Amino acid sequence: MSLHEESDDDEPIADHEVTVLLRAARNGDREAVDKLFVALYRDLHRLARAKLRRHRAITNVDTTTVLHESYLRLNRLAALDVEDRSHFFTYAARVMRSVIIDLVRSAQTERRGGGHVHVTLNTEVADSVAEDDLLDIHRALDELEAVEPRLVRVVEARFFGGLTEIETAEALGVSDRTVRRDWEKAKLMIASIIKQT
Amino acid sequence: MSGGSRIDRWRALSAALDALLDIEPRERKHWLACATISEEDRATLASMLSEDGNFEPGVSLDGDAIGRNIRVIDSIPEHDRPMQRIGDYQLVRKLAEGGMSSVWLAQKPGAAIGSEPAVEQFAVKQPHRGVMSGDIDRFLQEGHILATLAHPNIARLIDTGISDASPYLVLTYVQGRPITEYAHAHRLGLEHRLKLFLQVLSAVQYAHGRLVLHRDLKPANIFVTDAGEVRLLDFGVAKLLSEVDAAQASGEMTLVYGRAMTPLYASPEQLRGEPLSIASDVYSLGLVLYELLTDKRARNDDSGGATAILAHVLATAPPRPSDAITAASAISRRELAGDIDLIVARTLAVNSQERYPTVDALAEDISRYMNSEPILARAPTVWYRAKKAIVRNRLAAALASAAIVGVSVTAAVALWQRNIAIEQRDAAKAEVDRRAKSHGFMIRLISEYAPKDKPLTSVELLDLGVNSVENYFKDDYREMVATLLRLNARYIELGEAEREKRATFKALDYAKKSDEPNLIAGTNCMAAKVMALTDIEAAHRHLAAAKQAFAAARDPSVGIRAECWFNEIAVLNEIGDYAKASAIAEQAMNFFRPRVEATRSVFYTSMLNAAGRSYTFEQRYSDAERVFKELLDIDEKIGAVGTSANWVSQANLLNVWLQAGDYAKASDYLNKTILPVVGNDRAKLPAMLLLRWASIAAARGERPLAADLLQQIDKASLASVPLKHAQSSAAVQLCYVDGNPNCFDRELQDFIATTNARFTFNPREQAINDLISAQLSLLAARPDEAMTSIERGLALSQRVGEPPLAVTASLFELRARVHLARVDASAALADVQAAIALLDRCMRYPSERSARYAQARLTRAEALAATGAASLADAELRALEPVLRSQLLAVHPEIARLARLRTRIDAMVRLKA
Repeated sequence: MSLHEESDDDEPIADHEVTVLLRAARNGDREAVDKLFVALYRDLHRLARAKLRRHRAITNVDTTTVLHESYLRLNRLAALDVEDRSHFFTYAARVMRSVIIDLVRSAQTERRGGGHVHVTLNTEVADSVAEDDLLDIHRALDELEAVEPRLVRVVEARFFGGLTEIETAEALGVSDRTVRRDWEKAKLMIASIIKQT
Repeated sequence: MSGGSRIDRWRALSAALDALLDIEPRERKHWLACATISEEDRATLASMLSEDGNFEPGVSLDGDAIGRNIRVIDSIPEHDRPMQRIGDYQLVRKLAEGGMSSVWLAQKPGAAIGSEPAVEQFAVKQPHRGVMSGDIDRFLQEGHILATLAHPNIARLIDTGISDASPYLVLTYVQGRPITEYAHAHRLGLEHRLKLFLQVLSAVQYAHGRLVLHRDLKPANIFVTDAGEVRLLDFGVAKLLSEVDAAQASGEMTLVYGRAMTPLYASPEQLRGEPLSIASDVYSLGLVLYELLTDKRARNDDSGGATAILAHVLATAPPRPSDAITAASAISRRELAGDIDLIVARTLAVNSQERYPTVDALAEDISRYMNSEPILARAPTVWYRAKKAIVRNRLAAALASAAIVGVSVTAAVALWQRNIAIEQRDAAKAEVDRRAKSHGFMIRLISEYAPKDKPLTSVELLDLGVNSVENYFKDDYREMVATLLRLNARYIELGEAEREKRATFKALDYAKKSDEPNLIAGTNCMAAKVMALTDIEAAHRHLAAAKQAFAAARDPSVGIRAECWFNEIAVLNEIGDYAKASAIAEQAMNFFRPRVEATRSVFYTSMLNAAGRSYTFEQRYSDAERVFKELLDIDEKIGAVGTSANWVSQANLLNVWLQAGDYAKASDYLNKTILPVVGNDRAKLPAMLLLRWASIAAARGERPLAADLLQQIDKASLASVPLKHAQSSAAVQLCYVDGNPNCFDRELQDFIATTNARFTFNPREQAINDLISAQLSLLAARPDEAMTSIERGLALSQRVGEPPLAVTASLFELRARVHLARVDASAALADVQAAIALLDRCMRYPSERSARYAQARLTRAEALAATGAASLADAELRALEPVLRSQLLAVHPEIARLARLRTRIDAMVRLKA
């Protein structure tokens, strides 16, 4: 699907279903995790593209807003409890990573294929992360997944989800000290893995 | 590259980063140069390390910008809030929503939201609009019940009212998270989890005592605050016991209310809709305990509702907690197997008659377990009780041996207590009164509390004292703590580790009640020491608590601070984390250096000692030499030469040179500096010094002297582990220079046993056993056997991501010699190069003064000669010869090896010419 295609007739996310899936996923139901991913992906991707249509670029701030929009809507309709909330953000940040990486990839394809919509990812900070770096980071996270999944969750929450230290700590059920330390370590791991592959 | 080896690579990298992030930035470069890691990782990590030792990853995920604009709930736009206030309370956000009511975070009006940082927060609960009147009654019932409950672990009812024609309850707002999540997130050990659970039990028992059944006990209703305190929430379906039967009789089913219970945590009788009793809450508590201990639910199937769950519960019991636990858990299977499994099983009996009859009975069994006493959940057998006793004694033995390692932790405690005594002397009459009071306590203890009909052992008397302090001192917590610590010092002397632990935690409890930061810090440090060998996480937590208490203290006691540092360094050295131990010792030295005068130097010298020991382990011999010399200078200045502490420092300094291989300097120092102190009468030297001297003499090749010195040791002194270890080391060293395999055979088993006792908690150091075994095998011309020992030793001493131990280089060098014996010159050369590279990178001592270094080079010369590189071998030999000759006596077997090699190389050079 190309990015500029309008697809507003997508079925909106079935919120009650998400709540059920969220709870099942929490109990370790693999199938639920997969279904949840699909459901959230659809929602987050749609919201991200909406942003894209308006701003022609997506920033870290946007990804965060997208996550929270998705959450708030879900919460209004399905009354998530505290645990649900934490789990929602952990999963959603994970899904957001896929959304962003897919957006980058299709943007690159568009450019190479001469498509007429130019999508850029822009972190709105001085040291903005270039698209290729983003893909490197993504691949390094894949490597890291097998060794230290928690570091990956922290990067997803903080970098792709834009959550604060405290929010990340809540979402992952660890102390904010642990998040700080994980974040430091994750950056070094990612840099090393990129250097060595 | 295959996936598996990739994972191993990242795993190794991750371990290295953990270690690097832990230590002082300026020590990172050295660590990196020396650590057992791949060359690729070494290069990668070094490239990210700046001059000052800070990391610059070069990949940017950073920028506060990422998190700056995010406020999750607080940023909900106004129109998303359906309600602004309930009664007098301003709503902030919704905390939870159930089938019947919602709970809001709220503030009292008057205080402007946002401007005041410390606005008091409440939880306000109100039924949804339009719920049935029966529900309103039930809602009000919660208010009535809560109003009767005032317990520190139960969220309190603060206010009630009516707003919008609907009642509301105002409760204390509990900021925290469910107990299971809290335990998991903090990776709490078993003891800590059980303590939390005891708080839960205390709250539930309290409610039962007021005839209230909770009926919906589950982790989501049991919160733990950030301060680690349990709060029982949501009495929404609670019932007065007296009403339960009537309600059931009148056909009122709990299920009428939809979420009146949570099937996942309901008891079988609750699932059946049968009358409930205390035993139902006990069952639910059992499910909570199960989850708390295993991080897993006892029941997984949520989908089928009450009927399906009931069928499942009746058909199958959940796996035992010890079987449910995973490898990643903070608790080990072994800790749960046995008593805990039984306790949980008893709470989860399907038949309510078989469960603990009361919550108190459950709490009592858990306490018994925590005190290593036989639990009641199983019928006691003789065997079972004996096993308990053995566990207690083994722990006592372990801690006792830890306490006499080096300059003991107990010495630091004594220092601290002396400091307390000094403070007391200075503090005039009030303190005199206190002491009189405390003295009175001991007298009364013996004259009144002790039974008259039979003599008490000292342990029994101490027990009596520990149990009576509260009664005697009423609420003078300071005195309670002081007395407990005095009693505790006696437990330590008696080796009663388990009692020491109990008294320490009791003192900690009183210290907390006293609210005096110094007492809290001091008792936490003692708790850290007590926990160090069974639960290192717990020890670290106590140390952290101590630091926090210090931060809060207006007049932090330097004595207690010294005690804390000393304990922390001792713990780190004991588990082999030498780099971190050194880093903390440096911090401590820097703190006390400017305070030397004020503290009569005693704390500063303790820290010098701790630093010197850590440096020695870390192979930073020059640094160790420097601090021990500074320590001895201070002793001289204050006239402490010849005291026992001074002798310990002398022995430690000799040990530095012995480890570095500077035998000449050690020998010189013994003759010129140490012997004159005792009028050149070596019979007057303490055992530790004689033993160090014996090792040095043996290492140099002074065999008769070494043998004499060993003869001179009073056998009784060898009951001490460090002394026995020193004796055994000297003895095997002597066998080695004697070139006597029989002697080796005789001493080896003894040596292995003492090394294991000395390094019980740091198995890496036990690699030295394999080094010595391999030396014996090689001497007895059994190279295969030597090889096996060396491989085992290398596997033990090298741990990926950690610096190698001193023994690692020796093992590599010895393997080179085995290769030479097998005429494999290139393998020999590779190994000896590895040995020398390790010494270059890790040993911080001038190599031109190290016999260890020269011996490795001698082996390299031999390997070079074996490969036919005559001129290289010749140059190497010329370079090392003066060093080796200055360190070793002519009769040393290494000098003979040197001479043999000289002859051989000369012949090779002549042949080439």
